[in-house]
Amino acid sequence: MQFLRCVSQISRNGGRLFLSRQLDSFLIANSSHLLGDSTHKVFNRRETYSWSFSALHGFKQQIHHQSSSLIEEPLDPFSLVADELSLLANRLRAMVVAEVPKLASAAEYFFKMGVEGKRFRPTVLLLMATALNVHIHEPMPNGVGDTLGAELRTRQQCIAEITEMIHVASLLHDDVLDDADTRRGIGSLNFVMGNKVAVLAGDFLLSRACVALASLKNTEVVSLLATVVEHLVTGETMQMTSTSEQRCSMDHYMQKTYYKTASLISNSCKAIALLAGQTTEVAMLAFEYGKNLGLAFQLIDDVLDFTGTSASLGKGSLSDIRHGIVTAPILFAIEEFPQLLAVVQQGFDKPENVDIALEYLGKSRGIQRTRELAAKHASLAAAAIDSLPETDDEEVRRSRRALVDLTQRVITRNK
Amino acid sequence: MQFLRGLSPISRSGLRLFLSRQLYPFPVANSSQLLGDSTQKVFNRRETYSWSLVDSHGFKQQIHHQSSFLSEEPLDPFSLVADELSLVANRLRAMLVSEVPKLASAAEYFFKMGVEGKRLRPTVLLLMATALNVHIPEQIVGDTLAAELRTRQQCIAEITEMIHVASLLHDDVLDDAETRRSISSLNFVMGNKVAVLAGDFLLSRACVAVASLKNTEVVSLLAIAVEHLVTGETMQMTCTSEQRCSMEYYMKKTYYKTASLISNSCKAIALLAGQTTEVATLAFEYGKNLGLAFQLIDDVLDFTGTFASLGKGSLSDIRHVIPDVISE
Repeated sequence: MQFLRCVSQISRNGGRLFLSRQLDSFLIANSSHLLGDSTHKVFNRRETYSWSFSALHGFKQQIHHQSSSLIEEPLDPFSLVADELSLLANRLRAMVVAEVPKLASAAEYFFKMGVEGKRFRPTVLLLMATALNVHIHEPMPNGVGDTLGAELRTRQQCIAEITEMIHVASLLHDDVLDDADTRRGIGSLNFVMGNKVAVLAGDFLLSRACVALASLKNTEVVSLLATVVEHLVTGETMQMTSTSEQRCSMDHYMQKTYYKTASLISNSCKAIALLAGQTTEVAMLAFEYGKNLGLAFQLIDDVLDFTGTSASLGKGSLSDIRHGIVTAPILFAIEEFPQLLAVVQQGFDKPENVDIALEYLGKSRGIQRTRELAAKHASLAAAAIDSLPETDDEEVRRSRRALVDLTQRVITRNK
Repeated sequence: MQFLRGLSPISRSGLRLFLSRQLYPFPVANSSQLLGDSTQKVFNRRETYSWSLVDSHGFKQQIHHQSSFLSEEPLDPFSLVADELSLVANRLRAMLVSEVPKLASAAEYFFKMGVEGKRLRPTVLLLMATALNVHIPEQIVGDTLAAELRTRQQCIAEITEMIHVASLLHDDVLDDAETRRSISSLNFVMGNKVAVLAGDFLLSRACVAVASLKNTEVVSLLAIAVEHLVTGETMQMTCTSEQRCSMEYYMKKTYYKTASLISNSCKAIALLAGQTTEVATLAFEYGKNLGLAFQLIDDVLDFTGTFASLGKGSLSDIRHVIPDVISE
């Protein structure tokens, strides 16, 4: 272990805790004093932060890191890229214009102001683009460098746009498949405009994504993102068609979760690296970051489906289990209480089974172990960033810190 | 008008009509004599072929062209490429393997033996590939390279079929269709969800295959074809009553829904062969006009054909008009 992970402090009212990054032993002594025994607990349950934290709600989060020699300004990953995100959102809206009005309004349904979602994926990708902005070629005259740099940036922004289109296309189709009524706090597109238009709009977004991909003139990138679409479909089908044995298998669950959630982020991170002309090793690190971040994200999502509130998620809580989807907390609970297995295999059409399962879950360490697993993946993600080639560029370093920070936010959020 | 277009008479039992391609003055007289007044009518209604043509039903069609000085053997375009089509079909089935059994069986539903349809598109593309096999002098195209090129062009044929079937799967979901190609539709057998997913799966496999060709212009062309398919379908679903009665709107929609895929994949074949822009555009024009002609006759047959021959109820177009309209 080379250095202590910075723990990101999350507070709504501004209570702050400064932790240090280990760069010399003085600081180690200093920080372990501060952290004490809480280090472990931080990753298990939000509620056991024993110093003055308030629970996290809401979009803006404050993070504080302290390097060896200077106290850096609070870092908010989302605000680092906020302007660029607006630019992207506008370009995206322009890209889904269609000559058929109904198709256009269907396609842009989820890109309208206020319903773009957390825009988590584009944020990750833009930060990754900066984090990999390591000059690997001979220094060029400023003018040339700037133009090429700007061109590269535009291409990387394009990856972010494409990723959002693929993501929303899959949401549109999933809502049709699930007969969902709401999404992101508003009526789902299929609910508002019918299944047919929703299916077509999804296809349209996919085809626009393909056209945009083609314009990047990089077939490896096309390959990566085409594989993502395939994974999304495979993951969804795995969920729909699994046997009761598979549904109770952690391996099957993790594979499905990779396909459904992590593959998109991991492969688009890798695409960002490839566009930047990075080596295979660096591209793999970017991939690993995205993969572990995505897995951590989904594991916490599964937890929140049990512990969160419907107002905060935009969908009913317990929706997974009510749809017969068995997630990590339940799988862990089954390990402790084999009797739960029979209940799960019976299915959850009977509401009583939901109650029974919840009872077992409460008695078990299912929630805690899921959080632990999420924390492990978050750690792996942060480690990938820390393994990137050294750089002196402050902007690059700030983006990398932001990426590491995100790994913490992902596991400590409550919506 | 530079030359008379070769007409393709359609006969089931082998009655043939030889028409000539105008290259010299002599044969023109011959063909116009043969064609007589029926030239006009050929393009209107199949039934008015006044010479002894038997109505065509089924797969095999005979086309005969007579060049200026030799009679060539009767030519069956489909048998010219039959072996290659089998190869393409097998590779296609291999490409649809998935770790999820249900997805695999859904995806290959329309690629099974006996239900692959007329396979018009792959036939056109394979013929086009050979038709453009003109040796460009500067390139010394050895056997290996030629074989490689052929494989890549076959890949275009596979990709095109995947895109086509994906659109059929989604269209059947959208139309609540119960049959397709004389068997039950996939959505009827396995449900809408699986059908939507299978369509997405085919599309994604097509994208991966296109990417493997490492030619971004080709990627572009086929991506646009997919976009056109969607746009065309939406045009059909959401038109105003005014648009529904516009020939221009109809032709545009027809281009998007039917001709775009063939035209763009023909162009892709040309590009892979390293042809010039001019030649690529000619390939495009062939595909486009063939596709439009195909659809126009399809429309005719929907009125005049029979259930047994088309595998779908006749008059299905017009019966779907009212429910499909979303009032504006």
